[in-house]
Amino acid sequence: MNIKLIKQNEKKTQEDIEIVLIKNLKNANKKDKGILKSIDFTKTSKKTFLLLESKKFYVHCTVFKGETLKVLLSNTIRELKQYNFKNIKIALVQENKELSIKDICEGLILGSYVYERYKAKKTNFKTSVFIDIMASKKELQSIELEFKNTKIITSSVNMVRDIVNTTAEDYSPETMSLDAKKIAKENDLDCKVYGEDYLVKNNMHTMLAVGRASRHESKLIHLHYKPKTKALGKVIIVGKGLTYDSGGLSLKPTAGMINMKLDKGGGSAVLGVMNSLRELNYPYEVHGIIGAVENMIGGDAFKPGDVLYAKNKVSIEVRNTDAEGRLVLADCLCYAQDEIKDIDYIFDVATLTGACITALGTYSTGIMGHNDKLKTKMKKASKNSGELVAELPFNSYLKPIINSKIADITNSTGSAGGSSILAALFLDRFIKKENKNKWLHLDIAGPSYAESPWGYNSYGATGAGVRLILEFINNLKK
Amino acid sequence: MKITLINSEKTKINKALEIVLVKKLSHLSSKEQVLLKKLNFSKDNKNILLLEKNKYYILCPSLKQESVKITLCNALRKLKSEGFKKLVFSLCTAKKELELSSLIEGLVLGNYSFKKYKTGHKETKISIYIDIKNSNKDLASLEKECDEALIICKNVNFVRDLNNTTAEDYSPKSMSEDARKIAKKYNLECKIYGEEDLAEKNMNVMLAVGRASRHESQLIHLHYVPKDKSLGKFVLVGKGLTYDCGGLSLKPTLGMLTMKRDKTGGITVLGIMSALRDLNYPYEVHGIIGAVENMIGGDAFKPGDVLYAKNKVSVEVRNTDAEGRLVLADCLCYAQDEIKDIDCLINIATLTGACKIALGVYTTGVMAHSSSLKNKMQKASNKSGELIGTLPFNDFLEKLIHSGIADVSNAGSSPAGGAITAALFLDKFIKKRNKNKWLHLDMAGPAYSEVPWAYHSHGASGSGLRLLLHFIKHFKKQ
Repeated sequence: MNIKLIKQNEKKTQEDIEIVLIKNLKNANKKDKGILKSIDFTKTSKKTFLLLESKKFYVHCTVFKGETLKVLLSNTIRELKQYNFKNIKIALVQENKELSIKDICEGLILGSYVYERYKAKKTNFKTSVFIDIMASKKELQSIELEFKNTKIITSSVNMVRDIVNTTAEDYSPETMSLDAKKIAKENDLDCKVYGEDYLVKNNMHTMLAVGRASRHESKLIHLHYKPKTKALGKVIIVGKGLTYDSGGLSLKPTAGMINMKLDKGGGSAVLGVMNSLRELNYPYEVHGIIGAVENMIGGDAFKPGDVLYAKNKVSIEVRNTDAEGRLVLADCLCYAQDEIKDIDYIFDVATLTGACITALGTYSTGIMGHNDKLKTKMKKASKNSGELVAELPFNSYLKPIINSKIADITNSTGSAGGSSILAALFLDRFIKKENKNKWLHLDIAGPSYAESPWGYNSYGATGAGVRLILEFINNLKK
Repeated sequence: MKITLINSEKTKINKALEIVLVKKLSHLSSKEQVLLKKLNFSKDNKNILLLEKNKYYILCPSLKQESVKITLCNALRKLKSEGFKKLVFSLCTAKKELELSSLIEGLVLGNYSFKKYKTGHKETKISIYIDIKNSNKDLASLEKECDEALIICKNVNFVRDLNNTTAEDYSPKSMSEDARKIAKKYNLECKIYGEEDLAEKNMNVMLAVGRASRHESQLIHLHYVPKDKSLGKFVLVGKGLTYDCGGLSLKPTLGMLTMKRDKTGGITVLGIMSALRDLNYPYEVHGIIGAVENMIGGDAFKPGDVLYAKNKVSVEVRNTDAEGRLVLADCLCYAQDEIKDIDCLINIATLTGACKIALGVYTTGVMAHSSSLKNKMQKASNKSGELIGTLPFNDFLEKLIHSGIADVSNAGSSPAGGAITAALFLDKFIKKRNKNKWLHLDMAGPAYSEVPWAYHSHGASGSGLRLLLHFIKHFKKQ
């Protein structure tokens, strides 16, 4: 799909169909008004009306902005795709209301995404969408900038979806590191990729243990974006990149294992963010760090009962090899804070706990941390980006639950409630004192992947985290 | 929903949306062909609504009965949900005269939904006109066909309603009251026996199942005698477990959830008995139902008990959740003791989970000694559209229901062939002279589904009724 901005009077488009939003028919021509009124369109559950003679595709819309508009346009483009229209037009101003370019493009681009790598028959969707900005009251330059930025962000989201949807057989830690190198090259970023030798030398034993039984070498990926102008601050994003998680010796049941290619959702989101910064020209220095590991079962597997030492010397009793994400993140968080000084913000993003899905439902990201201001900022980013978040609060009673009898802490507490929070409190043990108030943990276990399409997300990966984090960084300027 | 036959050459219908079933584009006018081709009308885009033309095109690649029913049902549901209230379509479509009864089944069965427990629900009224222009049949015979199809559909929906009613609202007594109402309305003979009568008749097996329930078990016997000379005598025996919690062999929560449907066999018998008079069938038909509730309690029958059936056969209860066959055992004995010269004896029951595993959830399992009866049932299946599969007896399976302490055990010693061993259990209660007249239908699969399929919505499907009415109707002709 190709989207272009046009001005109706300077260039006559040969559109096959025009999307027209209607609330009270101001936009409809006389004849169509009659037809739509005759079927009482405001009262039907039907939202879209194809009127071929006037080349209009009317969409019944009550809210002309935000998520409502995105979802509606996503449904619209999916329907128009079936009809094979080649040239589609939509006016930026509908019923005297100026829509946001961002809403339109996110709805259209994210909504029309499908993943067909493994399908013999591919849909050949060569459609051009023309957004007519003729009646806009905004400056052309600001419209064009918003348009460009939205295209950058959505194309990163779709890249992340592609990565997460790729099967574990086709996407190993090595593949992830190659993608990181490619992104670094295209976006002029620093990129360091370390293998298992480095992990041994640097005492990152908990991360090492998780990947031990896999035939794929674990990779520690470090991408670094420096703005062309002086940086206004320093942001670190650490992603969990489990390219597959069988659970290890604490093996997952069949149904729980099927979608475990999704467990690289956090690391992939980091790739998506790093892929956007240069083009968006964000004035912040951003480090993206990914622990890319495969958690398998085998003769060399780490075991429930093992005690591991993280990079910061904290000892961990492994009570469940399927709570492996926090082990990988622990060492990655240590690495980040050892290597990078004067951090302003440090986030980790991970498909971490099923409990987060139980707590919030599958559509929301759980946010945890010590700093309320930071959480408020993240909620604001949530509102602007459309990605849903909710806060899961720490408390002093939960804290001691992760204590171990034999080591400093344990990676699994069995049936104790609040497992998402306990996972975050585990990670907290690897956050240096000076960074405690700069840290947020994002659990994207729910929204990262779904077999039932929702909103403008289709079957599979959603690219969760990318828009949220980019929005957060973008808002820092203000 | 109101269905009217019209002839568009004589009567004009205003403002009705026309449903066009499209087998091949070449059956349409060349203008329409160009239009639909342009809109990618194909397997990928199966339905197109053209408001300006007032037409709704829907792809129907096969004009066989079932696919017409399903396509029409889908069209109706979609258009109804979108608020269209007046629809018309042609009996002669795609150069072929469709079967009127199929159209009516697709519409009436597809339009059904169960809203008894939805507060504030208002049924949307919808008018449907079937255009009989170009039909080769005369109006009178079409009207007769239409009436008969409507009678059958009405009774299918009646069965669905009863079956969807919760156990709290539908006890064995409710079933016997319904039987009385039907008898009165359609001039049938009706006998109802309570627990005292069962004790007197030595129907102790059936009695045991209902013992823990606060509802009295009911033995229901309906009798239809045709106005003209009878061509033969049918006996239908239905399992009417108004609820089955499993008894002391308690079902797990999920398995218990839909157990109001365990009355399907009995309800199906009610539906058939209420259709016979209107359809004027020339056969004598007895409908016998064991209406019982299987509960747990201080008075419950127990695994390990030995019960004596009406025919003195002793039964070891090894599983109180294999209760349907116990109820049927006594009902089959009763039927054969009371009724002489039976031409065909059929019992209908939601009997075994094994039947679903064997055939899938869409198919009724048919078991019998007589191949010719099974063949006849297959023909009825082909005609009615209800799917069946035959499960064959063999000499080796019988030992699975062998009991060390009684004549027969109510639970197979292994789950293997569970549907067949249940039938072999029932076989112990079929008199020698009736062996070749007996058919067992296990409807555990198609009776009820929480996932809508074909023209069935959430819940009861009313399966069995159309199958058996076709079977009875054509019994002598074949």
